[in-house]
Amino acid sequence: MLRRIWKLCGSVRVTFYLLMLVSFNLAIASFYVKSYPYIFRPLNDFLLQDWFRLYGQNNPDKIWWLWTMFGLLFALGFNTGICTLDRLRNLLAGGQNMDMRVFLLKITPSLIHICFLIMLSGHLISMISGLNKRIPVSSELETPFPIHAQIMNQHCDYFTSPELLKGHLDQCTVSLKMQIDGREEVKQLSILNPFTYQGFSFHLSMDKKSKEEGLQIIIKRDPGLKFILSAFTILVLLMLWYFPKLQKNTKGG
Amino acid sequence: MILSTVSVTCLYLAAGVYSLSFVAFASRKERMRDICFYGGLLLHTISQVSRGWFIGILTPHALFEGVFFLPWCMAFLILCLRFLKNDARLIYSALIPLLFFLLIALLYRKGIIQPSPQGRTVFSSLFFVFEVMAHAFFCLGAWFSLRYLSHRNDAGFFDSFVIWGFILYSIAQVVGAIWSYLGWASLFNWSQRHLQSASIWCFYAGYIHLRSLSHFDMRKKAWVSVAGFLLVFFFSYVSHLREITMPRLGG
Repeated sequence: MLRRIWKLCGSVRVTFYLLMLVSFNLAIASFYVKSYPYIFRPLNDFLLQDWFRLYGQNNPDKIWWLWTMFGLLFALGFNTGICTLDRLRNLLAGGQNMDMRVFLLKITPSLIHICFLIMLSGHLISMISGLNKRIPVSSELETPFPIHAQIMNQHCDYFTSPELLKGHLDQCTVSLKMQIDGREEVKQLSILNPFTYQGFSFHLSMDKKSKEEGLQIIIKRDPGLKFILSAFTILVLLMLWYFPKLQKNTKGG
Repeated sequence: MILSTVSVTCLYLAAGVYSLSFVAFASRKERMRDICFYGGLLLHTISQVSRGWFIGILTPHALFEGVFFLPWCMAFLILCLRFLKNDARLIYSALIPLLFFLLIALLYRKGIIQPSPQGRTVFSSLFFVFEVMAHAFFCLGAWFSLRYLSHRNDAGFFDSFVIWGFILYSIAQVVGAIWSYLGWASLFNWSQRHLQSASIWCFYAGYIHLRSLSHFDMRKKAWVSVAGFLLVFFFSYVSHLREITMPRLGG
């Protein structure tokens, strides 16, 4: 009985239906996020637990999809984990007599699944820990302890040519004097050119109007970032190797 | 003649020459069909490249803007297929979706979206290249699925398209995440666009798993591939179409 439940929990059929349900759930989520920006936009700035306390708990009828999504993603993670464990156990048991290339081909889906699990965990870590502070450039910079930062100056460049672009915003730069433990350092921050300092990344961003007045400094510490980005990159590289190889093998009989 | 005029004129000419190619295809004039298709693609390429310099300086976003870049990607894939596969009748049938998306491009505003400082990174260009190319793969995958459902021509044809579309779409998500991090300090945003991209990714991730399910035969897979493209069309492509309301330079 337990064996049957274990097999069902790790079955590919369950994976397929879970992925379809997650896809459907995300589709619904996209409409809620669009329809209620005053509830969901702050989710980009707050940690999940803080956002729930400030916005979520007052709107249970509009955030239900978030719970179903977490439930489905948890189930998908569980299913992927069991499936991967099963595959690896079978492979390692019969791997001694296997040709190395065949072994690599067979183990790749499991490696892809491990990358997927790391990505999922990375997203969870990003949502519940770290720091995200958005500050308009004009105001006093409130930086996380023990860093102290001060805006030295800011300037924006505008296109002077060609004719059609004249007067449109080209780039903005902010000079920041960073202080920590009595040490000072001046850093240049421009749009798309963030810098890291003492484990925090500083970004210059702008609101939707793309005007100089909309400039914001974002101070971020995202513990999940490295997990998500490295796992997703490896996942893509593995797929780039695996599928052509698989197609070649299928064609070759 | 300035480059914006070259771009627009060549786009109309390309549409005309592709249409001739389709007429030749329908009337089984093979040589004319091939010549017209190659000529159309040449004009289309000139149109697309000159679009990059539409306002006098290179603006990659104009070059890779979904509504205009998608038909070119589809034509490019048809050309590749022409060299890799023998079934010209099946391959040239893809002129139908190509002409459909080209018609939308012809009716669309030709000016370019005002460049934003947040879009000027190589990651943004790469994101659009991979995303739109993935859309082209998904679209042709769905088209060949429909053909398979009605003609049963080539069993594995559409499947390869969907798989390659998924790989390219995944690459787009990685470079898009890097762009998002540089510009907005976050790999993922709780926005309609990001959630819809995640929805599409999960759907096709599901499709990829179908190869392990014995009760899912090729016909069922073909239906899933068609459903996947409907998702891409209503989420990604329509979001490109919505950009028609954005302020544009040069028309």
